[in-house]
Amino acid sequence: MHFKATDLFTVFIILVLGVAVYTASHWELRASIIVLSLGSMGVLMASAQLVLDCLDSNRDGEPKKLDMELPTIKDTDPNKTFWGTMEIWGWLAGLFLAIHVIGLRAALPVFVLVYAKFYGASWRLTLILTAMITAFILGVYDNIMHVYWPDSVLGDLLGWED
Amino acid sequence: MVESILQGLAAISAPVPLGFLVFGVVLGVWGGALPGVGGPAQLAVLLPFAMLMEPINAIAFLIGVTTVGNTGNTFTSVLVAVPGGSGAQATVLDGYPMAQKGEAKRALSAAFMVSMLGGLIGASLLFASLPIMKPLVRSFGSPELFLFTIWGLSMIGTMSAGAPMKGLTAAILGVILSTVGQDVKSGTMRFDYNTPYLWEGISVVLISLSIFAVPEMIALAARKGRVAEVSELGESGIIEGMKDAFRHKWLVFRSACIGTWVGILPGLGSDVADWFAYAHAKQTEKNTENFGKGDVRGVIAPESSNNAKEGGALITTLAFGIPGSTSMALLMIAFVAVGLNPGPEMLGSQIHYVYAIIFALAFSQILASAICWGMIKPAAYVCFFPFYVLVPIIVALCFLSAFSAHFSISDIIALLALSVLGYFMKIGGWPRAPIVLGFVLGPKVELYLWLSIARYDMEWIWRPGVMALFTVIAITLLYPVWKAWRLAHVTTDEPGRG
Repeated sequence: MHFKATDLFTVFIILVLGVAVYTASHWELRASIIVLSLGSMGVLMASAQLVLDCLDSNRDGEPKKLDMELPTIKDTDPNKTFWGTMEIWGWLAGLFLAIHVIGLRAALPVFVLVYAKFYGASWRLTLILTAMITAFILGVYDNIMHVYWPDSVLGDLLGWED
Repeated sequence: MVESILQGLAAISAPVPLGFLVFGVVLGVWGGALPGVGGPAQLAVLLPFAMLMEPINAIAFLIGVTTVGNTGNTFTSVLVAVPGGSGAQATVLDGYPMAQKGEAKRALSAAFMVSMLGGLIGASLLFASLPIMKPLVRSFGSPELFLFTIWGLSMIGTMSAGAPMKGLTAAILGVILSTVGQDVKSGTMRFDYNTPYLWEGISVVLISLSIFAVPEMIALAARKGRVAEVSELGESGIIEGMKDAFRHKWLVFRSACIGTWVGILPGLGSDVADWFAYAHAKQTEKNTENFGKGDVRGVIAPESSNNAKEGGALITTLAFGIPGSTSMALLMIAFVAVGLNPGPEMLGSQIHYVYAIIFALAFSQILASAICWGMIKPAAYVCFFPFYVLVPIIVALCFLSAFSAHFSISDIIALLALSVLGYFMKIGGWPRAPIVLGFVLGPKVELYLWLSIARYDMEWIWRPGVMALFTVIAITLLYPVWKAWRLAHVTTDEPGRG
């Protein structure tokens, strides 16, 4: 048996489909039939895939190329890529937090400004990018679509109204 | 008839309608190129203005806006793996790898050429179909539509040949995600977990952004590079792309026919048309080993199909007054508001307007492609932008597009949660296209199955159309197996021959 870290995702898929089938079993048949029939098949297929993957003795070599999947650029420095991935997830979490605190309309230009500057863009380029996204938000979402922006913590505290 | 055709052509060629057509096309291309802005949302914003126009001006303007979004949305699909609209999802699979290889110009040029050709084929089929459309559409009931959607799902076998079990499981996951929300047949709330946001279900925009766009941006940000791996875009790319369209003219024609047919069938839209055409190309073309790795045929098939779909969608909207999609429903509302009556009346006393619509559709396709060609050179340089320019802008656009789904902060939460799924699918070696196809086809499979049972009990299985489609599905499933067997057989025989 060759259990790898990526197999945890297959286990996750089996669990998700299993929970879906269990939840659907409490609904009336008309609403549940698709989930019950396909979900059960999905659990079986994902389990079979997990077993096949674990029994595959050649899996430590080059990973199989998948059809219909975007090619991944060859990872020359896995350590750098790992920390780069952690960084970008951190940025996304930070952006999500900023949306809660200062609101979506303000958080997106701030994110563009801070991200571009942090990674070495010149002030001129950073300000152009920030102005572009701000103009897009104000022009399209505010003036044309008249979007109602969600409340923010700071907006509520200071009594700002959208 | 000839008089009505000339009347329609003269009406749409007059300076004022032509001006509105150009304005509409520019807005349509712009809306298509910006994720989350085009499509029904853009049309809904413009509708009140169009309703105040003369009928011919409204036709020119609205056809311009509505039918070219699938041309404009190719830019983001090819350059940054962000499907600009639901009709450009399959284009990402080969368009983005082409951009990575420095062939963005070629991919875009081929896409715009086949978009134009596909659109013109769709318009021609709309023109040719007017006399025979009624009996043809009436022969297609819910059982045939059910089989048609099953045919779409059966293509997943073709689309995930490297890992068929993972592909089918991903498609099932997509179907199950599509069941989230209220079940219209029984009123049951499915997977809502007492969260009002989930009552309306998950938007396809969120699925395509989180499965394709966000994981690709994460990969780009993680390696801190650029989209293109090479330093040259290739000067001959634009001409080469145009030649590609004619080199694969039969693929363009077949894909356009698929697109038109999908457009005719109510409820199936460009989000299905592009996948059907892609799978068809992969199944029927020779030497398909480069599909998904930057094969121009993977761009040609979906792009010719999604533009041809507009002609097909207009057939049912104009001939029966049955809008096959949200955009067509909005278009019909505007037509009714300016005094046009889609349905039998339109094919009678207002037939010259139908011909005006066909000419407007054809002009729009040519104009949209011309505009997009003009933008290829500057747009292609996006591939060379450093990550710190692309990542923040694309992430911001993804967040805004996701927010446009229901204008709720929960859209952002759903985007991030689904992006985790998309990211782990990417790194875990799971094919991501089937989950999107499963999501798109899931509700249609369920709806048409229940309509078939409610209307015909189990007798629907014996309808001639159903039997014919069963055969097509069997061929779809067995053809790759036969092809693989034949290939293995030939390979093992070869040493003996020598």
